Amino acid sequence: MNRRSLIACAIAALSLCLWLGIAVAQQAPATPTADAAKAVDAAAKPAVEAAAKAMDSAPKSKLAEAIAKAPRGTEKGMIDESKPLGFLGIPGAPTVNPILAFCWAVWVGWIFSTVGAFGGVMAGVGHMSVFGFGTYAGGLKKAAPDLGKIVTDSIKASNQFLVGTSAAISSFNYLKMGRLVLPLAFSLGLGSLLGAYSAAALSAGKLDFKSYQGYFGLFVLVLGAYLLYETTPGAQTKKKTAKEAARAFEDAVKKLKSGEVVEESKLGLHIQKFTLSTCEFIFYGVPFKFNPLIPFLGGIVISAVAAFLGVGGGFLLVPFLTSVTQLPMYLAAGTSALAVLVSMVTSIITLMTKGTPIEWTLIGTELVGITVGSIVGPMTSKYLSDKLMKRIFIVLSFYIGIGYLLAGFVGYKIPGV
Amino acid sequence: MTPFQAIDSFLIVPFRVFQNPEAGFYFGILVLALASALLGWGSKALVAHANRSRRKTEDGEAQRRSELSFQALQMQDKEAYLAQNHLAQEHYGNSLALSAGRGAALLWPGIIALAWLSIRFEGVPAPYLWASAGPVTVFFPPYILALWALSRLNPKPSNPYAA
Repeated sequence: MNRRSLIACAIAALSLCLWLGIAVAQQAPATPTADAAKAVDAAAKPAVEAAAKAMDSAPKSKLAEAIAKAPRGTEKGMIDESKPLGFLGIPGAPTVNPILAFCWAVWVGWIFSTVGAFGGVMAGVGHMSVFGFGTYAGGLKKAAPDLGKIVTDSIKASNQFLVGTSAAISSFNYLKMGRLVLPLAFSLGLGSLLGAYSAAALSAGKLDFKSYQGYFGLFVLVLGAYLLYETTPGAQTKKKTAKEAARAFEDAVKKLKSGEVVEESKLGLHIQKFTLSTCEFIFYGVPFKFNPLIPFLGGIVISAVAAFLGVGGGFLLVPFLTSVTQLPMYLAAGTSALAVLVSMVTSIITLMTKGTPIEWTLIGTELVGITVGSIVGPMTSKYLSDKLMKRIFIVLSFYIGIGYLLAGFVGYKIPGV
Repeated sequence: MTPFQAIDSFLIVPFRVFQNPEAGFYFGILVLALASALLGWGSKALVAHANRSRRKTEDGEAQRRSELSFQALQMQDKEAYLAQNHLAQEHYGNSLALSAGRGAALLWPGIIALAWLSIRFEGVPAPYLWASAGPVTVFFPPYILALWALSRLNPKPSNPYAA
């Protein structure tokens, strides 16, 4: 079996897992006597009627159990049955205006297409602050903790769904190009699978919103601090030195071989040895050696953090592979995309099979918005300076990070977050 | 008429093509899966077109820097290798973020279809399949197959560093 077939099998297996996971998690258990005629009945009758019938006969889901267990009343954190159904079909939960969801997603898509990975953070801010799910879930902490945790898990899964779409696209591209290094993909992929599964399985139904908000804030704050560090004279000098080294080398190459282009066919990746502790390969005539446990452990840690916070993880995996293991970008690119996909699929399926509901209508609306934002982004970005954008996002990172950290761990709320 | 009713009256049409209820059920889901994949593929192409200039820059720089890093390796210049490799990785990161838009464009019709199926047929089992199988179970295989088949129509990316 050649490499492409193996990769195709791996992606087919992932798709199968996704299908089974979503199918099992989405499906309300059916009544044994139901038959095809019922399907047509449902198609012919209004949706609400069919849904109500199914709800009556089916055992209660985890969400329904949590709603049933929650105290009734009009006070904060209670279920007020007189109010209309909101997020996830919970009476009195916030209802998101589809236009607001769409507009916020346009902003997220705009960021993805102009600034970069910060779009993922903004997707999370939308779910937690702009749509009001965070305030609602936080308010359930004392009166209905189980329901609060289910809503928190749903927010987390929704965040991850929106940020993980890029991995799906990239993995397809790399599959077509046959550009995955199997030993590396195996160790990183296995680590990602374990990390994402453990984080999702251990935190599902146990993480209250305030804690999640606090950790998410800490992550955004670290991101902001890193962005700020990049603007400091020290980091700028370091960057400048690296760029100068790169330029000097470029000039030297130009002088040595004017006009010669590196041919892809000459890259010649040859794996020499692959054991549990050593992977040796020759790449471009130069011997490389790495311990497969390092990408494995890196995959576990990064995917666990990504699954726990509901973020993508790709922006951490590529620098990890190129900086920590010093692997060439040629090897790191496709492998990290596949690892993000594995991590995202594992995390979402784990959450769903543990009873986390997902509001597909909202996700669909947001994906439409991200699509539109990605089309508009390149048309407008030429009018904005990169420097200004970076400064704006540093300020935003600090504001959101500190705001979420205070709200989550101290209980102090600053305006807007 | 609410927006849901408007969408509902449109999406239910293929389910009523056949008089036989089972045939109508499977045909409707098949049409929905194929249409979702086709619409997703079209909107992904639209986003890819809108982003082509920035993608070309980022992917091109990632490729150029990466190729320079290979040359540095050949010349045993580790410092230059690390510098070029780092710069290549920065451009690849930007390219990866850009692909989020294409991912969203590809998947939104499928997710909307999934949402509609979940509401419309909640608790309804799929005929001839196991007890817990429903419309979502039937929807996924043709949808993924259609996405895969459509991806074959796209030419292989010429830049090996394109995310």
